[in-house]
Amino acid sequence: MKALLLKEFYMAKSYMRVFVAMVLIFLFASVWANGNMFLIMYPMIITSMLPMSLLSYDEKFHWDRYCAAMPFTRSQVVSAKYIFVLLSGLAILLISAVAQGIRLLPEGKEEFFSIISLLLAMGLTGPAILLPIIYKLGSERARIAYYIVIGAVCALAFILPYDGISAAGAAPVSIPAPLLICLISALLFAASWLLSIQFYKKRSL
Amino acid sequence: MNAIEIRQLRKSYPGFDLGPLDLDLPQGCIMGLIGENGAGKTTTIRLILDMLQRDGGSIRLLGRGDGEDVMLTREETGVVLDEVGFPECFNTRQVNNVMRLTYKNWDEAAYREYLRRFDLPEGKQFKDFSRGMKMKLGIAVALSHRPKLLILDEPTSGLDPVVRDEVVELFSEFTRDESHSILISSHIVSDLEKLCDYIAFLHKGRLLLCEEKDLLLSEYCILRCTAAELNALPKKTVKGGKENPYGVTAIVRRDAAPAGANTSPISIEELFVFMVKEA
Repeated sequence: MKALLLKEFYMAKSYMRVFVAMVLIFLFASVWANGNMFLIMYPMIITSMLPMSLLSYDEKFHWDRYCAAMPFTRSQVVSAKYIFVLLSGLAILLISAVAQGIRLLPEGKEEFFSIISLLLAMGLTGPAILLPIIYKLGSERARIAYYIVIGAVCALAFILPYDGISAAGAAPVSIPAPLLICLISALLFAASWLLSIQFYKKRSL
Repeated sequence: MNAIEIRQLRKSYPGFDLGPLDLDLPQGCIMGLIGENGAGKTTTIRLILDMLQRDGGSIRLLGRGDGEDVMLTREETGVVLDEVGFPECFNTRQVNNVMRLTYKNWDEAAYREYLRRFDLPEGKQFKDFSRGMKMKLGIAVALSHRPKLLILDEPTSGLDPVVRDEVVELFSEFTRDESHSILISSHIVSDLEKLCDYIAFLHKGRLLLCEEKDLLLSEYCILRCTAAELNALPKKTVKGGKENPYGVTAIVRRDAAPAGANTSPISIEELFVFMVKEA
């Protein structure tokens, strides 16, 4: 498993340099742009899409076949991707939390937690939807689903009014409470993990 | 013990059926899998490596059947596929770091020695390697975790004749240990003829023949004669033949060739081409 995570790290380091630069620019911009949701959410959106790009590279380089001959179970291969999602998402969440903390704390505590929970939900939900589709169909055939989800998430980040988010923590009847959002996303992510393992076990390589 | 034991292996795709296939690779031996494009060599190898789900049959590797110590079997099996499979951003150092964590028996010193022997640069990225260099790196990795069984899909393709010869020598060295075995597929039949103890011919998903190489070479010969002379031989002793302006060139059992007839030794390539044309 450590070998698979190291491989993901090398791949991300090599292919995602532009991505890291974009994340940093958006994070800085989000601090000064007075709560523009797109700027706040974008780093997490692209981070959550990272494993999909890595899976495409795996197929392109025939790593998926080569790896199937190594002493890894298919569950481990899938799990490495999900753990990488969690680690990269957590890193972005922490950096975003610092950035938003500078902007909102100590006065806007409720808004801060609403944004963080939404970021967490976004970071978990994108991969939770896309990864099983890719493990079932392969990255080429899953590309349409990929674009639909990216489009939907970006549209959501644009549409969501800043006031609406700030009300998220204060109006739990109309908008689910931050904890509930996180819980649902985590459950979705766990179900997706199990489903991807099942799909990948049956996949021809 | 057999390193590979395949019984009634079957796999069907639309327009292509593999098998039923029965194949034994005795431990300590090298078996060459020969077949034209689309004959089913890669499918067979992918089924052996459990990359594809088979439709029927059984496969035992290193004496272990389905689901028995799968991880140990993979530890003990070195694999080189037709597309080597490293991410293109990797250099040989990163390959070493990943493989060190992958295989319990990873031998870093052996890996470095193979890199030196194959003249592979340490810092260069895989994407900048030629096809031959990529293949050599794949072979270096396959040999560096001290496997007992090597499964190689077209490992000499893309290599120049000098390196091919070196690689063939390396594989011969590997099987000097009697517990080591190799299954190798290749289009380059001359390499297999040099290297293999057993030869298996695959044609359109069917196994035409699986025999000891020396037995095949001693059992058959090329006979040059007239059509009438060939027709006089028992049908089952003739593997195939073709007419030319000077008569007939045929492959026949050596013991069936008439005394004093114009015969010459046969190569594996000639035998394969004749058999495929007759099939």
